[in-house]
Order: sequence, then structure tokens, then C-alpha cells
Amino acid sequence: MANFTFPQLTTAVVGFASTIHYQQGSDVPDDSGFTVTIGTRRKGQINAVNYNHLTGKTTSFQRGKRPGTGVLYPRGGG
Amino acid sequence: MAISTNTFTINAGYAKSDLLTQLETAFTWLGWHDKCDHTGIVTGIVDLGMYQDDPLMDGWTHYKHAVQYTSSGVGTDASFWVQRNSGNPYSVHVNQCGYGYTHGEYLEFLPGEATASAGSLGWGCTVYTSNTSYGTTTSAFYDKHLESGSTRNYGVLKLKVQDNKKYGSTYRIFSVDDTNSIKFASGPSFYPYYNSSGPWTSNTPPYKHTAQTSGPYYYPRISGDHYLDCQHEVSSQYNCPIDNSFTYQTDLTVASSGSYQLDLNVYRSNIDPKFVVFSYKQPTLSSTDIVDNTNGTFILHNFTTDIWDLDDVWLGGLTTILPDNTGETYNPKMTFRMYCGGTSAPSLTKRCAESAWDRHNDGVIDDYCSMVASGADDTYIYNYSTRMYNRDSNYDINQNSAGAVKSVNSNADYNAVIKGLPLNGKVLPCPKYMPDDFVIIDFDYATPEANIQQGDTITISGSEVYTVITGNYTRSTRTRGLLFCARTT
Repeated sequence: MANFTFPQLTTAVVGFASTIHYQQGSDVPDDSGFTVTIGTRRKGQINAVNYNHLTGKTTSFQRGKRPGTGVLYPRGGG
Repeated sequence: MAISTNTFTINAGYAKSDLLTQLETAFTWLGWHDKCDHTGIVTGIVDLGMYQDDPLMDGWTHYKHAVQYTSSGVGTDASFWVQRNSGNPYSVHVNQCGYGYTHGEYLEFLPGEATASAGSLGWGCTVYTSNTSYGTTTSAFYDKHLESGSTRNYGVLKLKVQDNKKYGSTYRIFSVDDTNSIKFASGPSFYPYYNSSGPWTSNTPPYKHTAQTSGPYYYPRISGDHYLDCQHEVSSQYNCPIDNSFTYQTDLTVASSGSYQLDLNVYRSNIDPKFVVFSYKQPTLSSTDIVDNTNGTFILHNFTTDIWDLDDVWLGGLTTILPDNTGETYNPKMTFRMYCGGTSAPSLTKRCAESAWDRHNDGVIDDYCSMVASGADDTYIYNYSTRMYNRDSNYDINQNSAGAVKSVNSNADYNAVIKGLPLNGKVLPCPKYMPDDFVIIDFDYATPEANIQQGDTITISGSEVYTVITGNYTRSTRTRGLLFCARTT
């Protein structure tokens, strides 16, 4: 029987089961470690409340700008 | 991860019966013959039963798969096709023969099985049986008929797919009427009684099979519930593998002529030992191309899946792997065709497992197409073919013949062996992926007119070597195309 070697041929890759696909659940940020206080979600130190997990943006709420009343925190303004 | 392989050879001038013996021996090597010792199959009934179908019903009524409620003995799995006219028994055929019965055993049937569901008394019958045993060894077919005359030959493999399931075994029928091809069929049960006639339309006892020496033949037959387990009525010739009207899943060409030695090469996965590829080759037949002397390549489905439960449905399919577009003009294709419930009479097709994809057709076709063959990378490829990702900067150029010719960066070159193949890429969810020791190779070989044969090896590295099973390629300027291979190292 003959033996053939094709120079450009490379090792086997999975053709149908390895394509990247997203699974619901695995894409959701890890919720463990979050604490919830009166409508505000934070992870880690108290300053972390400035990070919005939904938009990925960090907003600086300096003293005096945090709302004094209301149910949605933080919402900016002063 | 290397496969195990074996070759079963029959010599030039072989008879059609030798095709079956060759398969039988291969199944013995695989350990696929299920030793079940079926003795005491039902071959007839003493009379048509004792009860009228009360309340009186008008016209004809068929009870196609009447199953016993109790028995005076230990027989099991027999069923009957009971035909009534105005409520009175008119004819009864043995449908499933069952096993374990004794002469004179009396069977009782609940209302609804062979009589009206409401207001009837049920039915009962006393059976004749045969003392012949079937499935008595792990080295022979469950049932077979081999002869040199004009009658078709057949062999029946009782293949246990899964233990302790209602439909855990599949009966695979191989019917042969010439030395070049084999007809494949399957069923969840099989009535093996050869030299028997049917159907009974007479009201004169005994209602019993008698010897029959010429067609049309009705038995042996694939048996079971009409349209669920088998496609044809009990009084039909279509389920009988020795009858000329036998309907089958596919008539697979295995040889060009019986004048040459015929090898049946068997490739068994060591990752999944139930996954086996069979391929026929005539090694002494002169060739310039693999398609000249490699013929039928197939996979008998033998797997379990989360999609269905073999308590509910049965597994009857097979997949053939055959070259298509074998000329020099087109990009070579390999066709993976999955036969589910389909047969050569698709309009009559209604079956169980796998047939959800194929209730009224005769096979789901999945084509793989080489991307670098036929002499040009821009060759039109039919848009329904699965393509191989094969990028070569020698071909991916800007076609600027007058000026600077630029190509795609050679870093993008890609030509990998592809594993993880679906049994069929045209069905979702795919019930089975091939184990990783079976692959497709899309290759481009600079030497024209190469004759790559089944059994040749493709070496990727010292630790990755494949043996060619079948393929399709062009040869005019370079040798390019597809190979279906098994990993040996």
C-alpha cells in the first residue's frame, strides 16, 4: 500500500462541535459576591457602587451629588 | 485511538450466497450476532377464534397488531392481523411470530386488540408452532436462506442495540439477487419461517403455513405494527426478502463484477466500538482511481441517543458514503446519505425511530465538496454542498495578470484534517457524531494522475496516520479531492 504525505495538511480539528457558541447563563456576570442594599447592588468595596454592571461604565458620584431621597440609586444629580 | 480493522475476502467467481456469508463472518468478528435462542415461533392457528366482534360492526374491520393478554403457556411477542367482516372473523394472519410457544397454547386477547374496544368479549386462539430455533449462535445470522438457484438469498442480523428496551434489538435484512449488489432493510421484528405461504383468506382449517416453492412469497417477512414497525400489510409481498417485490432502504452496489476477488473491509472505532464502517473493494480489478474498484461504503446505525428512547421507537437506519461528481469537470463530492425509514417505495413509508426526518422520502443527503479541486479555486460549487475550509495563498490571488500579483497572506493558509463529523449534517439535532478516528481530508497533491487507493496511508506526523477508506478526486493537472479515512496511529 502506498503512503502519501501532503505537505500543507495539518492535524485534525473538530469540524462540527467546536465552533464558538454562546450559552445562556454562561454569559451572565457572576452574581456571587454581590450584596444588595436597599435597591443598590455592589460588589467589593463601598466605592464599587460607582460601577454600573449593565453599561460597564464607572460614574463618579462625589460627595454632595448622591441623592438624598428616592428608590433608584445611584442616579446622579446633586 | 487507532481503529481496529479486518478484511473478509471472497474469491473471484463467488456466488450471491457468498456475499451473505462474507457479511455473516464480518458480523461474527464484530460480535454483533445476538444469541437469543428463539424457539417455538407461531406458525398458524387452529381456527379463526371463538368470538364474534360484539357489538356487531358493519363492513370490514382490520386489527393489525393484536397482542395477547394472557397465555396458557410461556410464549411471548406474537401478534396477529385479524380481519373481520360485519363483526365475524374472516381471516387471521400471524404478524409477529414471537417465541417460546408450544403446540396448542391458547392465547386470550382483551377487547380492542382483535375485537371492538367497547362491548365486545375479546378474542382467543390456539396456535401451531415450529420447533426450529433461531438465533442460536454468535457466529451466524438469526435467519438466512442461501441457495444457488434463482430465488433471492437473504440473511438477517439480530443486532442488540440496547439491553432491556422494548425495541432494544433491530433486525437487519440483507437481500441478494445478484453478485454485484445488496439490498438493505430493517425492522423491529422478523418472521423467519421460510418455505411458508400466506395469506389465509379461506375459512377452511387448518389455518397454517404450508410449503411453497415459487413466488409470490409472503414469508419470511419484516413484522410488527403496520406503518409503525413495518411499511406493508401482512398480506403483502413487499416485506418479504425473497420476493421480487421486496422493498428496501437502498440497493447498494458492492462490486463491478463477480469475476474479481471481493474484499469487505471493516473499520471499527476503538473510541466507540459500536461505530463501524464497512467498505467493499475489488483489489485485483485494475484501476487508475479509487472509484474504479472501491464500491459500497456504509455504516449500520448502532447507537443510543438522548433524542429518543428505545422503549418507544426503534433504530433502523444506515448511512452510505459514496462519491459523487466523479468526472474531472466538477469539484469532487462525497455523499453521506442517511436512510431512515425510507425504502424503495417511499410513498408507503411510515416508520419509527429516525423517520422523523424522513417519513416520506428515501434518504437524507449530505454532500461534502472539495474546495481546491478541478483545476481552479473559483469553480462553481453547488450551493447546497457542505464545503471544506481550505485556504491556499497559491490560489487566493488578485488575478492581476498585467501587474503585481498579490495574494492573501500565506499565514492564512489552512488545510486541516476534519474530525467530529456528524452522521448527517442535514438533520437537527444530529443523533450521532462519528468518533474522532474517522475524518475527512480535503487534499491537494502536486503530482497528477495519482491513484490513491483504499488501504493507502496518509501521514500527517509520526503520531497521526490515517488509512484511506473511500474518496473522490480529480487527477488531470494535480491530484485533488476528498478522502474519508480512519485513524490508524
